[in-house]
Formats: sequence, C-alpha cells, structure tokens
Amino acid sequence: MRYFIKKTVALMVTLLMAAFLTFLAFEVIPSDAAVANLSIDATEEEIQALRESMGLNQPLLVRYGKFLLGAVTGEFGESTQYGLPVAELLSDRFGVTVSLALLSFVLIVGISVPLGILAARAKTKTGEGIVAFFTQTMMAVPGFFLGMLITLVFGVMLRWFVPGGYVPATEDFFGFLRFMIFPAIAVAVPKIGMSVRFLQSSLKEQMTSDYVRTAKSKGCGKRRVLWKHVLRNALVPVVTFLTMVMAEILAGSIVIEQVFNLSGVGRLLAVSISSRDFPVVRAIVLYTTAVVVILNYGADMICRYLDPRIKEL
Amino acid sequence: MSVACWLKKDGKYNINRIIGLLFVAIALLISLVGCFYTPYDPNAMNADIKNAAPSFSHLFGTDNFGRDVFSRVMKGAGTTFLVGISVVSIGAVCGCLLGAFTGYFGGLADLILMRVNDALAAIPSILLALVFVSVFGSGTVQLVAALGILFIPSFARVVRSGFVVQKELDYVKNARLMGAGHLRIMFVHILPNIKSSLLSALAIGFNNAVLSEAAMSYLSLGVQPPDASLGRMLSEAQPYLFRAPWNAVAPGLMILISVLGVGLLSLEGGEKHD
Amino acid sequence: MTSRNELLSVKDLCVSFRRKKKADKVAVNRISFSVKEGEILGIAGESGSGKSMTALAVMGLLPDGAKCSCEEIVFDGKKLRGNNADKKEQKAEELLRRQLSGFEMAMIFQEPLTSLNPVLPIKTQMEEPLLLHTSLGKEDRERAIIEALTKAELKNGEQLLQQYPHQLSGGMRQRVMIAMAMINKPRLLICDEPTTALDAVTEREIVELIRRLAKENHTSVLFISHDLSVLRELCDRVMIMRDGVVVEEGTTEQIFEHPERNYTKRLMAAAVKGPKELSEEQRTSEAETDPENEDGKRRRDKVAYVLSAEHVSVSYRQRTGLFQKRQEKLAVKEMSFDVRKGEVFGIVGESGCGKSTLLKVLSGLYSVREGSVNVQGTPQMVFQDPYTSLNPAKKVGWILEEPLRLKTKLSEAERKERVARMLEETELPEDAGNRYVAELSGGQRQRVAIAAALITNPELVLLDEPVSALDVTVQAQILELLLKLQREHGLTYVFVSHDMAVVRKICDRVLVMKDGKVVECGNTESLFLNPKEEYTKKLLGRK
Repeated sequence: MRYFIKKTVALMVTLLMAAFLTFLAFEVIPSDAAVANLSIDATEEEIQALRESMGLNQPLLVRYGKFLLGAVTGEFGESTQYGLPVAELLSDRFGVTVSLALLSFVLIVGISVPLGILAARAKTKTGEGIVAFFTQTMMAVPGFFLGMLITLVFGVMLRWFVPGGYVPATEDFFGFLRFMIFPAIAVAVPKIGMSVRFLQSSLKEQMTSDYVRTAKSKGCGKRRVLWKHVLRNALVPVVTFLTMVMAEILAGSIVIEQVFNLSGVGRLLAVSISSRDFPVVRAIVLYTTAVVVILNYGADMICRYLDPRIKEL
Repeated sequence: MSVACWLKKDGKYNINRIIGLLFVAIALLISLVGCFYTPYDPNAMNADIKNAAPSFSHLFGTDNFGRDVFSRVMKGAGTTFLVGISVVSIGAVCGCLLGAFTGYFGGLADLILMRVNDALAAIPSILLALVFVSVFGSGTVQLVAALGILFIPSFARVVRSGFVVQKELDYVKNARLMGAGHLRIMFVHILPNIKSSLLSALAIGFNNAVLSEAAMSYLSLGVQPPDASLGRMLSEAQPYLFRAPWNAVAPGLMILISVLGVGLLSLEGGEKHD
Repeated sequence: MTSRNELLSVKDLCVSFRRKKKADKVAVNRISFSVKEGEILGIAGESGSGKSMTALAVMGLLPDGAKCSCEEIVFDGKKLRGNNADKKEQKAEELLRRQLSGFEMAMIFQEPLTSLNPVLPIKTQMEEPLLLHTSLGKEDRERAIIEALTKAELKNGEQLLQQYPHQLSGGMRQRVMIAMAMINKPRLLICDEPTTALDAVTEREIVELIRRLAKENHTSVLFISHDLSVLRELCDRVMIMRDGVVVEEGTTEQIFEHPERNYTKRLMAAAVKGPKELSEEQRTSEAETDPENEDGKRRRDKVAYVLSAEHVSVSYRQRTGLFQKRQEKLAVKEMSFDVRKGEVFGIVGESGCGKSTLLKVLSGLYSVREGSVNVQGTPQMVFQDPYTSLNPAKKVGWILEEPLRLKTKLSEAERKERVARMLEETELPEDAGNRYVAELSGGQRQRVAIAAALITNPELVLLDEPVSALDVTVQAQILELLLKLQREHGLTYVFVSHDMAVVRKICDRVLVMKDGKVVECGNTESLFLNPKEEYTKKLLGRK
C-alpha cells in the first residue's frame, strides 16, 4: 500500500512537472504566440489587443494555473492555423494514432516474443551470428524508409491499399486492417529487432542463473524450466522494456503517419510545428508526455506484482 | 592488434564483423570523398534530365530538379554523419562529466539529476527534439543542439551506473589511501574501467543520432534546403516515389548501410579487449 | 563396510572447456570413484581442482560449453551416461536422468540465495519435486513440505510457505534448499560447497543437519568442500583432487592421520598448522616485548604505540528509500585499544561484527562519530579480495608506481627501480610489471596488493582478511611472505580475520569482537589457551 501511495504521489509530481516544462517551453518562444498569429505589418496596438484577448499579459503562475485547468478539462484554446478548438482537432485524429499504436504493439509482442525465445535457444556461434545480423538490420532501417518502400511495393505497384485511406475498426474491421497493417509494419519492424535482441539477452541471462540449475536438479524438463522459472523471472525487465517500446511507438508514428498520409495526431504535430501553431503543439506534447508517464506508472505497478522483492523497498 | 586478428573470433572469421567493417568503410569512403569531390555539383539543377533513371553518367539517376542523386548522397551522407558525430560528442562529453560526478559523489544532486534523467528517458527523444525545434526554429544548428542535449541523459546514465559500481570496489578505496584526489580517481582510475560500456554507448548513440537526424529532416524540421542530407532527400523523393524510386532508395540504403555497419561492429565491442 | 553396495560409480570422467586461441582447458581428467550406500564421501581440493565440475557432471548440470565424456556413470545399476551414446540413447539417458533427479538423487549448491528462484514462494519451489515425481494430492503435498521443513529444523514451516527467498536469512535459505533436496528422501545427496557462503556458527549447524538427515534417511552423500576441517568432521571417506585428477583417496582417518602423497601433506599442513612455525629466536624476542609478562609494567612505558583508539563509535546512515527517514546504525560501539610498534595485532569476529568497518575507520576511509583514533603516519591497507582491490584496467607496474607518484617526488627512473625491487621482495616474476591483473593468479594478485601497500614504506599496514579469498596452500605462502616482510622492515600489522587458526599463527595479540564491541583482548597464546569469555570459547570451538 505504501508503495502504491508513494508511486501515485510521484506520478502526480511528474505530471505537474511535465506540464510546467511544456508550459514554460512555449513561454520562452522568441516571438510569442500573438505576434506569430498576425501578419507582419500589424501595428503595436493590434498586437497588444490580441495579447490582451489571449490572456498573455497575466502573471506567469496565473497563466500556468489556467493552462493546467485547461489541460484537465480538455480546453486548449484555438488552433491558430485552422481556427478550430484544439480539443476538436485532436479528437478527430486521436483514433487513428491509438489504433496504429495498438496494432503495432500487438505485432511487436506477437512476433518478437516467440522469436526472442527461439533466439535465446540458439546455442551455436553461427546461430547467434545470424540472429544478431537480422536484429541489427531491422534496427538499422529507418521506419519511414521502410514505410516508403512498403508504399511503393504494396500501395503503388501492387495496389493492395491506398496510402492515406482509413476506416475505423468499429465500422469495418478488415478494411481497417487493410489500411493500417502496412503502417503498423513500418512502425513495428525496427522495434521487433530491438525486442528480439532484448528478449534474447535477458532470457539467456536467466537461463544461466543458479536457480535454473536447481530446477534442473529437481528433475524439471527444458520446457518446465523455461515456462515456470525463466519466463517468470524475465517478465519484470520485459514489462519495463515493453513500456519503453510503447513510448517509442508513439514517437515512431509521428513520422510514419507522414509517410502514409494518415491524418493522426503525429501528422498534426509535424504540420503544426512547421506552421508554428503553438496551442496545438503544446496540447499534443502535454498529452503524449502524460500518456508515457502514466504507462510507466502502470508498468511499475505490474512489476511490483510480478516481483516480490520490490515490495520490500 | 592486427585487423585480421580482430576480425577473428574463436579462431574463425566473424562474418558479422567483416560485413560491419565493410559497410562502415564504404559509408566513410563515400562521405569523405564527397567532402572534396563529387561527380556533379550536388545542387546544380538541370531541367532536361528530370527524374532520369540510373545510368553510367548518373549512377543513381537524377531527382525531380535534374540533380545527380549520387553526388547528393555523397554530400548528404557527409552532412548526416557530421550531425551524428557532433550530437554524440556533445552528449558524450557532457554526459560523461555529469555521470561521473553524480555517480561518484552521490548525494542530493545525484538524486535530483537521476529523477530528471528518468523523466527525460521515459519520453521519446524525437518528441523532445520536436519541441525544441518548434521553440527555437528548425535548422542544422538547432537540430544538433537539440539532439546533443537530448543525448546527454543516456550517456550520463551509462557512466553513472558504471561509477556507482566501480566506486564501491576496493581498488578505489586503495587509491584513496594512497592519497589520490577525487578527480584523479574519477578520471584516471575509474574511467578506463568503463571504457567498453562507454564504447558501445557511443556506437548506439551515433546510430540513434543518424536515425533521428534523418527523421527530423524528413519532417522538414532539420537540415534545410538546398543542403542535402539523407533524411531531407528521402522527404523530397517521396512525391516521385513511383516515377523515380531511386531517389528514395539511394539515400535510404546509405542510412541502412552505415547504421547497420556501426551496429555490427559494436556487437561484441566489449569483448575485444581480452 | 566392504559389504555395502555401490550406489554411484563413475568411470573415467573427463570434463573440458573450449577456450579462445588455446587448447581446451581440462577441468576433470579421467577420474573414477564410487559412493557406497549410506556412505558420506568428501571431495576436497583447492579452487580449479575440478571438484565442483565432477559433482555437476554426475548430476548432468554442466554449464553450456563444457564437454563431458566418460566410460560410464552408473547410479543404482542404471546407466546415467555411457561412452559412445548415439542420439537415441542420449535421449533415453536424458529421460532417465530427469526421472531420477530430485527423486533418487538431489543436489544443494553453494549460494542458497541465487539457487532459489527469487520470484516464487517457498511453497511453489518445494512442491516441484513432489509434483514431478509423486502423485500426492494437494494437501498431502503441503503436509510433506511442512514435515520436510520441520526436519530441516525450520520451526514455523507454515509461515514460511508463502515467503520468498529474499525474506530469509542465509542459514534459513540453505535449510530450505536441504529440505527441498531431501523431500523425496533421495538415495544420493550431492552437496557442492554448501557452507562456504555461511558464517562459522551456521556452517557447523548445517553440517550437523546434513549428517543427521543423511543418517535418518539412509542417504549417501557426496560432499564437496575446500574446507578440510568440515570434511574431517563429516565424511567416511575423502578424496583429494588437484588439477582435475585424484591425488589420494582413502578413509578419513587414513587421509588425515597418515597422508601418503606430498600434496595431501602440504594441504594438511597449510590448513591445520598455518605457516611454518616461527623460529625459536623470534618467539623469545616476542616474549621479551610482551608487556603482559611479569615485568610488563616497567616495559609498557617504553613501548611505542603506532595506533591508539579511545572509545570509538562508528555509525552509518541507512536510507531505505527516498521518503523514509534515515536510520542510524551503530557498527562499532565504544571500542578502545592500542597497537604497539612492530607487533601483529589481530582482530577476530564473525561476519557482520563490525571488524571491516573498524578497519576502515582506522585507515581514515570512514570518519569517527565519537571517540578518537590516533594513527602515526598514513596506514596502507591490503584488502580481502585481490580481484577487486587492484584496478583491472591498469598494468601492475602502473598500479605499483601510483602511490609513489602521489606521495613522493621520485623521478620516473627511480620509481621504476623501486617497483622492480618491490616485485623482487614480494617474489613476483620480473615481468609482472607489464601484465594486467587479470593475467595473474589469485596468490600473485595478493602479492601485488601487498607490494602496493608497502612500496611507500608505511609504518602501519592494515590487513583485511588478506588470505581468506585464497586457497589453503597459497594462504600459507602469503602469510609467510607477510611475516618475512614484517621482520625485514619492522612493520606493524593490524590483521583482521575470521579464521582462528590463521590468527593464532600470525598474531602477537588478539582482540575478539562481537556486535561492534570488544569481547576480549590479550596475548594470543594465553587467549587461545584459556579464553575467559563464553563467546571466545564458542569461536574456538571449531578449529
């Protein structure tokens, strides 16, 4: 219980800190939001008037309070580029990004766990070398380059899907899969390389530990040793690792959405940065950070459940 | 130690290491030569040969402005690697100092820095780089600064964890009894002992820097036109993907080869000392 | 005894490891032995003698990369491993081994903490041999587990079931391991250095427990240890191994009373007697400077003190977490003692008694909380583990030069010369200076550590268990070297150890420590001959 309270307090503090940093980052922008919003030949009065209306003349802490309140209630002001409320812009694009992230995550876990176990069993030098080569290759491919190759081969040449198309999974699941599987592959491949490598090394480490020897001395077969002992112990680092992968997926999808012309949050972020649409950027950064921080919090909770040693801390 | 000896492992040639060396050599050669000589001016446009297919006169063809893709890859690789090296240098030097001091002395500063470090590490670096660029504007210098600062935590973490382990070992106590000062202990006694983990962190850092540069430039937030960089070229090639795929494949392969090469070389970097 | 049947017989067992660039390292070289029913066979040897590999080979638990071959290993008439088995035979052997492991033969290991699965409760782990080899129901299993725990002298068995290994003490963990191994009443129990990780008192109890359980269940035991005194106490027969071969084998009495081979004799001498007896001349000179003698009072004034500690208390602060309050723990409480010039002052006690902390205070690494420590000059220190006390990234020459660089203004040539002289004095090879520490043996490393401590000619040298990480024969050599250097340079040693035999041989005066306090302090011989305190007697109980 103490662990839970401690972690929850830490979560709150981290969230507040992240919010403050995000807030502060956009406060120090050389040209402030008001100026960016007007044409170059705007008069001083016009700028002042707009600053007033945007609340930019209030003290810093007051504005931070308002910002926090807005963050909690989903009120982020208007996009300077589209003239729409930020919340509306985001909610339109939210589904695409989340489904892309989830699909990629499923792909990564589904492919890399069996491959990782297989790789951990590779005993010969040649086997290890082959595994190392393939994982390194996967990690070396930039996701967006892979995305372009996929678009070229499956989208343009084979016409299996239309780049930029999207159907929500709730409407037509197979249509959704047809559009999303390719971007998801582009997101997943580098991460699969990473995960296989990680799984291989952490399983190998577990397999050479003393308790495995004890299990064998009790008469456990290979399979029982793997499932009952090794995997159970490897689970804690793997959960932590997968949380990191999830965060990386979110980041990776920024670029991949661009490649596949998917109108998701990531693409909105890239466009908004180019057009200096700061309310949108600020909201996206804050939300993504919050998601990552909360994911880590969840992982901590799971790890505590999985590893009795953590309870003692 | 001879190269042939280093390429061997357990008496047999290590194929991954050979491939790695080959790839790194190719990438280095292309980018180094590109600094002094390119077959064509990489920025010279020629409307007559738009999107020309690869041929003997244009090895990788030409792009939408009729610029020679091979020349641009040579120049772009140079830019990309330079960004990568600068980023890693900033990150490694600052990270080393930070990690060494916090790891060695511990205390409140260590506690606070580790919290900040944890928070930063949890958030994907490209997201932070995007924030940085959106605040300070896009361009090569900003990109290097952004990525360089963002890479500090990862190096600091590696160095710190090494120092935390090493400082407890008896040889450090021994050095103190001999009268060695803290700075001497940190950088003369301890640092050589974490060389191998630092080397692999450097390799991983370089690869991440190259990939990040490519991604940022691809989003038009890094290296600005008309300068060539590998990510930038990929972004420019995308609209003509079907008509002139070589525009995308050439810089893409270049990234792949160099990152894979460094990755393969760093695989057993830790073992080569014994 | 001859009428007993052979339970395990091993013929021509070889174990080797593949190495980089070099020929395979042979760990076990064609050894044969057998264990009779109900017999306790001990295998003794120094590290690297192949004794653990032999045990692991019998259980089929050799690490990856080990090559194993043998004429045959037969357990109870069943062939566990044959000579030239093809794939099919190997599979059958593997299956048989799995059926026997944990049922008819069981094993316990050196490190009970890592040998137990850290994320599973004790119950789940102890249940496994029952699940795999018996058809007991859930309740019967639980009953069997509690019974096994009780037999291993773990009282609140029921409470233990849901606990995890990290919540238990070292001794309890090893008892759990034993209970788990004995749960199916195996006919053969293999123990691989089961007491090495434990302190002296627990070690005794564990050995006693193994003996009792083996007798009760008529279990044969193959007991591997480097500690000859343990083997002497426990075993019916002892086998001495060295460099992968059997040097000598016989009943415990034969081996310990009438060893035939030179190596065995050396091993016995090193273990039981410590270094060579001090010369007669020295003894008299020691007696003269001994102030506890009749005319001690008069002499005391003349005695020069190199170190004096008065009412020293040391605490260290422990922080269990970011939000917890700091806890102060007293490691040393109100200790007072003096160390005279030119003597070897011993500090003994079990692990955790605060002797290492005390030493760090004397060296100036830790600060004193209360009281005062007066030391003449800056003492140098030799640490227990030469693997961590020498910088692995530097060459020996560099390591030895470092104190000279820091403390003297000698030129590089002069430093080099001093290093060369020191290497000679510590009987290290001349070219040792150009090697890395990793290229040296344990004994050589400790010589380097001693050389590094003595190279600046300190008056006082603190020795923190300097021989306990070493093999017995090497121990004797290092102790001899230490005494030689002390004589030649007129050094003063503070010698911390948990090994009473070593202390008796090397120290002039001894201080017995427990829980951070002085229990007793006095002349070595008189303290060993008639100890005044109960605790000292307990410590001396096992030589």
